[in-house]
Amino acid sequence: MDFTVFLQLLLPGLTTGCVYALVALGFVLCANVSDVVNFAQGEYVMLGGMICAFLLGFGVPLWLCIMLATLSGALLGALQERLTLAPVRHSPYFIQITITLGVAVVLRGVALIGFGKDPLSMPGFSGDGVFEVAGAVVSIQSLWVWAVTALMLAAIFWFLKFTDPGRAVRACSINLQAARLMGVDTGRLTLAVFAVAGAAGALAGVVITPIVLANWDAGIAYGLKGFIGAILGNFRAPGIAVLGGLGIGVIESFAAGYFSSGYKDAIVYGLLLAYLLVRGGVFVFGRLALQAR
Amino acid sequence: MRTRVAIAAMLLAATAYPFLVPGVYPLGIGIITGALAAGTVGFVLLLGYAHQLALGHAAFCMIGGYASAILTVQRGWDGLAALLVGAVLSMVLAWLIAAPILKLRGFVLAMGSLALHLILIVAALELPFTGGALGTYGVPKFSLFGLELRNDLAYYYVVWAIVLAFVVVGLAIDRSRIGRALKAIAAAETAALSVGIDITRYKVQMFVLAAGMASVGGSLGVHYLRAMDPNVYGFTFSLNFITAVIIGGLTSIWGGVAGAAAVTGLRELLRGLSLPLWEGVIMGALTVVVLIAFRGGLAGFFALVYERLLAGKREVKARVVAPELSALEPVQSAASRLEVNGAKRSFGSLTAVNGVSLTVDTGSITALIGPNGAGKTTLFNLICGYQPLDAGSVSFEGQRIEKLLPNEIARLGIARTFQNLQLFETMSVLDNVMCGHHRFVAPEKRNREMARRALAFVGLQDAEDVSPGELAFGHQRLVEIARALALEPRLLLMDEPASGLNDSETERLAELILRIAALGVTILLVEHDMRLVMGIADHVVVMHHGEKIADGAPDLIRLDAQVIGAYLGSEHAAA
Amino acid sequence: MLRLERVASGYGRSPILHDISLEVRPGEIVALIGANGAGKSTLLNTVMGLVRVSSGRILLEGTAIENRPTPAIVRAGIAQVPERRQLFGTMTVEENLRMGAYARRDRAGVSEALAEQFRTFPILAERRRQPAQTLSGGEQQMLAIARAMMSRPRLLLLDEPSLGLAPLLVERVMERIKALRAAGGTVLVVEQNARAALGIADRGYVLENGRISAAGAAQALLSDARVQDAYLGGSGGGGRAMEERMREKRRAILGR
Repeated sequence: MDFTVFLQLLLPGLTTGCVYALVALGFVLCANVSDVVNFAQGEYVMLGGMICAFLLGFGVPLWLCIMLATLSGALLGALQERLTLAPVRHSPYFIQITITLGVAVVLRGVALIGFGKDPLSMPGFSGDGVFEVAGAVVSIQSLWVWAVTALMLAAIFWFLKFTDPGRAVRACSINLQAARLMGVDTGRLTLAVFAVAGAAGALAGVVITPIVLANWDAGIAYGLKGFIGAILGNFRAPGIAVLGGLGIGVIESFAAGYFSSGYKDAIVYGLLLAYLLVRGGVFVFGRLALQAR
Repeated sequence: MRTRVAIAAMLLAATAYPFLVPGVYPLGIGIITGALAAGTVGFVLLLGYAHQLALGHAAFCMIGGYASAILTVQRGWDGLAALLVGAVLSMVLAWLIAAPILKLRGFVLAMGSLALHLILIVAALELPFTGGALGTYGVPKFSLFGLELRNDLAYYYVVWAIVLAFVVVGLAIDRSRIGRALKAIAAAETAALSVGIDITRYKVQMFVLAAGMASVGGSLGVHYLRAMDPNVYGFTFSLNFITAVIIGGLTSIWGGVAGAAAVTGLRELLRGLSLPLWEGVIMGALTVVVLIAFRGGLAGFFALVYERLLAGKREVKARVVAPELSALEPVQSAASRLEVNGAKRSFGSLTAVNGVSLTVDTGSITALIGPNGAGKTTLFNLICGYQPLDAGSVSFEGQRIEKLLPNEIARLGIARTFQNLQLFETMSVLDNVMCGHHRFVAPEKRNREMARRALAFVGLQDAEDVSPGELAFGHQRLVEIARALALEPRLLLMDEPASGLNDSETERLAELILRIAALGVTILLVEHDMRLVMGIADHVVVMHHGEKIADGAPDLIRLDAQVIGAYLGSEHAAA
Repeated sequence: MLRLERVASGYGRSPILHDISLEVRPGEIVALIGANGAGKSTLLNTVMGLVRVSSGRILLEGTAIENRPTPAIVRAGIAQVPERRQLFGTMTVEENLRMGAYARRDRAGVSEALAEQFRTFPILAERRRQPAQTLSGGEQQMLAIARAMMSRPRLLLLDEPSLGLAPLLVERVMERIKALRAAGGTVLVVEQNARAALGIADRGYVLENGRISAAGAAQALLSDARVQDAYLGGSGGGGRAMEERMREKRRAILGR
């Protein structure tokens, strides 16, 4: 294969993969503290981009737009946890995740009403220029995406590894009861994690919008693709989830390149289905674990 | 009774609707609502009963819709025939997807179903015979057996007749053994396995059935819309199913129909108020609010009003009376012997069970005892099939059972009770015990009879209509034992049956176990209460640090120095 | 330091503890022994706020702590070494220790506490970067105790520290607990291994079916027949009578 073509497909794939990676990470973090698959995760990405683009259209300075969009993500994440999940902490699992689905639908609906049906665009942070890598054309905004993603990932992993609350988050995912015995306020921690996941998603949405356009409907796709990344890590391993998300971005890009952009979604989702079918059909010999869920 | 009233009311409403709200447009809404309702009934079974949050359920509406559109337009088929083809296709696809995926834990089916739906949308856009983005149009009116239904009113009634048929099917399932099994799975999966319920199988069945019903709904809608394209049954449509079921009240069949009407009604209301874009927000918000604040939904509300109007609530007093000793028949079995040979099970570096062998002789009462951490519970779970063995074997009546799943073991005639009580809280006592009889495919009359006999045997014959939560703890234990007896076991495994009982309850339990043994049932119990163990066991096995350290008659065990050392601590550990 | 007054508690529909009254005085080791299922772990979990108290009071140095949230109880100065250790297996030794200090407000104190634990348990210092699950059983028990000590508790609760340990290791653990008392600590040890626990304790209580069936000086309890009764339904008391009645029934119903 021509190296230029290879890069031409790989690099944009990594760019969108960054968003999926952050969504996947959001899924894993929330699942680790609360055992819940948060279907609204993709919507935070959508909202981040839309809020930023919308405010920019009113002449608000870029840095302020970005900050407000990210804070909105954090706020909404916290509200979601406090208002819709904390009250049902002891309800059956499938009810909790249906509630997150409800929240996702509300967020979509709010975006539709607030921002309309048409996609919103915004210029790249440092313009809409491009640059070349070995003949492949890449937008400068991609650099922003990679940089911001790398920074966020580094920050989150540093947080988890080296700070007290981060350590507590990890402890909760290993043994919730023991974490409580250490004096961890699991309620507050869960709130914080949801806020962080919301903010991370929103920021991801902000950086990708100059490239992909923000659209009220985009949340499901982000959510589903990020989900694939998360499920590769069994919803427990943040590292694998991130790699998975990046991988899905790359696969999607190659699929669009080699088949058609119409088919790219089908291929990516087809991979998810295939993975699930194989995990269920061939390698699992049916012995159910004793714990619930 | 209450359900019948609700259904009658619904029937009345549906029949009267075209006359109460006349006009071409309202009639169309009525037809669309019916089409949605048809799919919703299936979705109640899927989400409310089987707890599967399928996010892409509209995929099956798509299949039905395209099948109907393509076969009637391009091939001139009968509407009914095309509808049936669509339904069969949907059900086959559903089975292919669900059978492997539902073996996985976690809510992967939700996303898998969404993935399927999105793939189908792409396929609809790209494949040559679907008409691409424009879709297939010019779909004729519905026809069956060559008779075309020109009149929309006639079609309306046909659609709602199908809805009624589906509701009847749904109710039949609810009242049947399958419905009971689904409720058991929802209430306590571990216990459901222990009575022989094959969880995956029922979940798959509901998924397939729901797919078929959704497909029918999709076909019916398409004959009214006269066109089918990828946008007709999109993601939002899947959300409609979810919202409808939740508003309706999750576990109510007729509630799902009411929910479908509510969803369509809401949409029309918003359209009338020129606020069509608010549909998403309001539906989502309703879903969240109902689930948090009033999970019973419309059906729950109806039940509340119904109870209020029927002032006299029956005082259900549960009394435990003298047990009927002859209620159950002796076991017909010559050799229900359990043999464990060299069982080994490790968790990482911890060897919980290290080469344990024991025999439970036919008709005996054997107790497995040992200090905390000895490995008794692990061994027990190995025997019952909840954990796999690393090495060794377990045989029952000469047949090797260590590789069997818990529900398969139950079907062989091995029943078990749980230390921490695993009752199906959402069912009555009688239904709980009837679940015990699940392994036999028998008429409901026989199931009920067996359950009543088991209840009589333990002395709970007056408590059958009560919900288990209303009983005292000791009586709840009896319900679980009755459920185990309803399985008609030849071997009964009891996990700390005396846990949480006071002295007199423990004595009554002892007597009950003795009478079960008198029927010829072989019994193995894990227990800490030494009075019970020493009082009734024929044979005692002692474990310590994962190994068997003693095996014999109770009085010998009690004097065994090793056993005493295991429990109280060896001499030289005292500083 | 800790007093329970007529405490009753349990999980939902199943009441486990009935009318428990006991106390732990500053600077002493109190042993709580009894057969499994008697409710020993439940008692510790009740003190820690993990199990609901339905009646009675729990007082820590005079302040009522029953039904308060667990983090508050930890901050009030009680730490528990849970049954079966409950370490954070995939986290390192050092991370586990730091988790133990989670409730402390003083940052500087944490580093100091860490150094102290490494001095006391040199084996942990050696393995500080290893995942906790790679340690041997005895080392894990030491880590669990060190982790609890990181919060500088006024009262230490130990839930079956001898569980799963070979006799030699049990001895070592018991030595460690004695050292805690020597350093001025107060300890409540729940144990199934009655002899090991009573061997180091000042006083003891015997728990049977959710009630205190005997109490007194540890040495006296060691030779008390009621202790053996509690485990094996032995020599005397009401347990034997019940057992006899059951055997009577057995002869009547089964003829053997």
